[in-house]
Amino acid sequence: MTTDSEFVKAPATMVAAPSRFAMPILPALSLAVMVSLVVVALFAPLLAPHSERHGQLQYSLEPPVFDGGTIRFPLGTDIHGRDQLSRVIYGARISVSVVLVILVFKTLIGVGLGLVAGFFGGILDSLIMSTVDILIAFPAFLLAILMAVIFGPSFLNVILIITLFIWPPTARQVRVEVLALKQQDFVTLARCAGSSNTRIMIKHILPGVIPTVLVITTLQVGTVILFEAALSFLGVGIPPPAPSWGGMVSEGRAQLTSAPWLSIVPGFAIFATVLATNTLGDWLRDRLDPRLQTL
Amino acid sequence: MSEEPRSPNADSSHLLEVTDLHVEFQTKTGPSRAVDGVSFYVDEGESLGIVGESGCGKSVTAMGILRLIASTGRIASGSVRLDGEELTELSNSQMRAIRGKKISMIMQDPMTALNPTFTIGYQVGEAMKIHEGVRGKSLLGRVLQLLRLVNIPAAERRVRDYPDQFSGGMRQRIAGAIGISTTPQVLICDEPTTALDVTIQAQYLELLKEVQEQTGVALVFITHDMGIVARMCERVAVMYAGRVVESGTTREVFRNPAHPYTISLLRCLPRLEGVERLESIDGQPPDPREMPPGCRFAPRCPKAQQQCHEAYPEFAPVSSGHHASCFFPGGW
Amino acid sequence: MGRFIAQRILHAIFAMFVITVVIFGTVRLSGDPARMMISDEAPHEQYLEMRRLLLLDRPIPEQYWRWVSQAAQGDFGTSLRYQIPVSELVSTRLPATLELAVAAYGFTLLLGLTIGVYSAAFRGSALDAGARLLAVMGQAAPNFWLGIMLVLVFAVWLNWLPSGGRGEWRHLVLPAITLGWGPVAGLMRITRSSMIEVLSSDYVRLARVKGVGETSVLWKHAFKNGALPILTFASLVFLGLIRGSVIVETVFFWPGIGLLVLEGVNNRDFQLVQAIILLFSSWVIFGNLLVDILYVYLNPKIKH
Repeated sequence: MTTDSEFVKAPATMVAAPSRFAMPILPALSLAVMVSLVVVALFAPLLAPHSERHGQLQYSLEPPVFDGGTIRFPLGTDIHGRDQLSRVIYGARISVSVVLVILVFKTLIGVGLGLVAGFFGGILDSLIMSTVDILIAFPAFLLAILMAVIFGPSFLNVILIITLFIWPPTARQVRVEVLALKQQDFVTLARCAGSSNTRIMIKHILPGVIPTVLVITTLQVGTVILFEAALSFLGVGIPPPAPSWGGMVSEGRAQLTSAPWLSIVPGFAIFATVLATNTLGDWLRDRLDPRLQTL
Repeated sequence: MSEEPRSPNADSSHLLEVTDLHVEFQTKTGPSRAVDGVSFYVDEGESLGIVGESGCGKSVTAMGILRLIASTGRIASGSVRLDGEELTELSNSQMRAIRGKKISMIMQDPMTALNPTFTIGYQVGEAMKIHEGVRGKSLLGRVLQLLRLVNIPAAERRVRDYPDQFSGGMRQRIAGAIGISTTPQVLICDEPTTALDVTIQAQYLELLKEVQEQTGVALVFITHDMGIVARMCERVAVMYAGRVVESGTTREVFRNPAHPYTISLLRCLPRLEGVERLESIDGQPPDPREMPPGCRFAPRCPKAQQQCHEAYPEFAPVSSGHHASCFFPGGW
Repeated sequence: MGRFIAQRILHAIFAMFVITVVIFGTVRLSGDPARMMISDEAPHEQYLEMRRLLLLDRPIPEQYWRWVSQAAQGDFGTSLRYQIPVSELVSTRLPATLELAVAAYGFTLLLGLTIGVYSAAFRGSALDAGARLLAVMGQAAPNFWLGIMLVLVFAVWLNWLPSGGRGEWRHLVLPAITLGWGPVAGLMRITRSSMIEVLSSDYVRLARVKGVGETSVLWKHAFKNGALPILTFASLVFLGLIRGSVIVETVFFWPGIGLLVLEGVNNRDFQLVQAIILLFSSWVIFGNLLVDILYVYLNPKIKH
């Protein structure tokens, strides 16, 4: 028998609540991808079969093993005869370090300023929050291009530029949490007991904002990777010959017809990494902080 | 309003007849029978009350008749016959031609039942536009006639107003106008007055009665309020945990209630014009995924015996036209 | 309501001020434009002449003020590389970018709204799950890579569509899909969630009870009520498309402003770059302002 769709909802009691920490297959898989990426990044020199920077010109544009190539270069070689597998492995190192450094910076700045703004209020709050509002309204990517060109493409500049545009959402969300936590009884109690402001912030309020920060940070991994990849693709990110995945796609594009794998493989590495972190982030958000739905 | 000529009853003697209806929802912990073998009927010009606590399956039954059950649910078995026509076997488009034309409904909450982005004129006229192809001036005429019938003052002016410009009582009357706009054969009223205050409630019920006298529509009241049943319905069916536990004429059921659940419902009636005492029933209805093996009311029944926990009592006649599912009907 | 709008306008003006200072400051930090305009062997007098010409001998605030006030009148200076007014360069490239943005936007709306509405209507179905998967995958794929993959499949392997450049409609297909793809996921999510809310409302049930057809229930009764957050998001999406155009125009050699700004970057043509970024920024900031005002105007909850 058929029924037209949506009408009577099943009573709420009939919908089983998912258990809070049981991890379904997809997030678990995503976590596995992320962990193996970090392992690959850590042990890149051991894992990479060849040098990532120096090629042998006689092996230029070897096809990958699944396209008639040899096991010597499993993912083929680029125009300079550099082994693509080794470059992708070292590329993981770049991505992981870019992400880690940026996220540490942005967490320090975002949590710090968010705490201060929410806790002290007043002029400080308005100042920090209008900076946040303006930065969020900025056409970040264009300014990033401009800055990258002017200050010169380098690892450090990429980090600084991306951090500049990525901390505001954390600060904004932390401030909201702090405003709520500030009203709680245990804060008043601590204040009555004579705790200093710094102590209250660190001991009593900071732990309360950790879940939110964790969710935002996981979700921002993808943003950072895509941001760096796009800058590198345009040639204003991590400078060659360092094997940034975005830069590799850009370089490989010149041989799109003769050697498509040079564009496919590094792009797929970006795609898979971002997919994994977003999946994990979505899951964490649903578990820890459903209010962040709109993020 | 003119009365529609009605097709002769093919092989059923009742206007609307629901037989052994089962509605199932898929849940993460297995199927859940929200409606588990419900049967009743209603005739032309008659009013039937379906009574029970929230969650007993009365609203799901109503939606089952209209075949508007959420995608996680389905009519598992049973039959719904309207004028001899088996509704459960119709195609979706055939069913759409019945909805709003032969069977209509008035929703519980007038504040949410009207669409805030359409004028009330549009909403009252929509079913007539769809089912009778009325358009333009004649549609406006019919809409105004309906609005006057439900006592909306200055209907000509207000027909272009939006729902938020009307009071709750007026909105409920507008919802009523929508329900009767196509002179349906059956009008399902889902708790039609719970959101209204007492005087407006009385006026509203009076209005429904008038409409029934004029058009011969069969009314099905879905309610938890025995007072409405006493006032409006010739017959009543009491539902508990997805099943009808007692049914009969209102007079007989009120005078000689057989099922202890009916008795508790009757005790919930405010006596002496209102506020003396409201006695509620202890406990919760059972989870539809884990029904007790015996009588479903047994865990809450003050008179339950061993027998009641072991077997489900047959739905047996108590007196003529009065049935109940209880091993110890009435006598206590 | 008036106060809210006034506040938003002030905020936008302040943001514009900050952004002009940032752009001006960043470009000034890049070095001496006068030095770049003349050859290294040129005599010192010529260098000083160029500095005068570019107003570099004036105090910094005055330089800033001249730049801003001239920009406000549409005078963005002269491109260092092309030696023609920047405004002229921009206006010849603008139509291409707008054409691409509009086509991409059409693609985004068509796909995002349709999938969003139907995955709300058939919540929990295979269609809904498929749409979710599509959204998640779409958000993870870098747009430059997506563009290149589309070129590989449809231009190189299948030879159905051109791989780049601007011309007839066939040239527009791949860049429009690439540019429009990113925001599809977001629009779909917003549409789905606001439709789910509306679809479970009593008035939508009532429409079904009346025998209204499913298409009309979805697109007329339900969509009209869920439209506000969807429209707000959709307008922000259009602003975002401009940003994506830099990458997509680069991938497809699409001769628009995005490609122009990248050429400017590579040629260190800062007059040009600074003008375009200023243009894009004001577009985003005033677009946001407009969306805010429109939202207030359309939202009856705020209005009353």
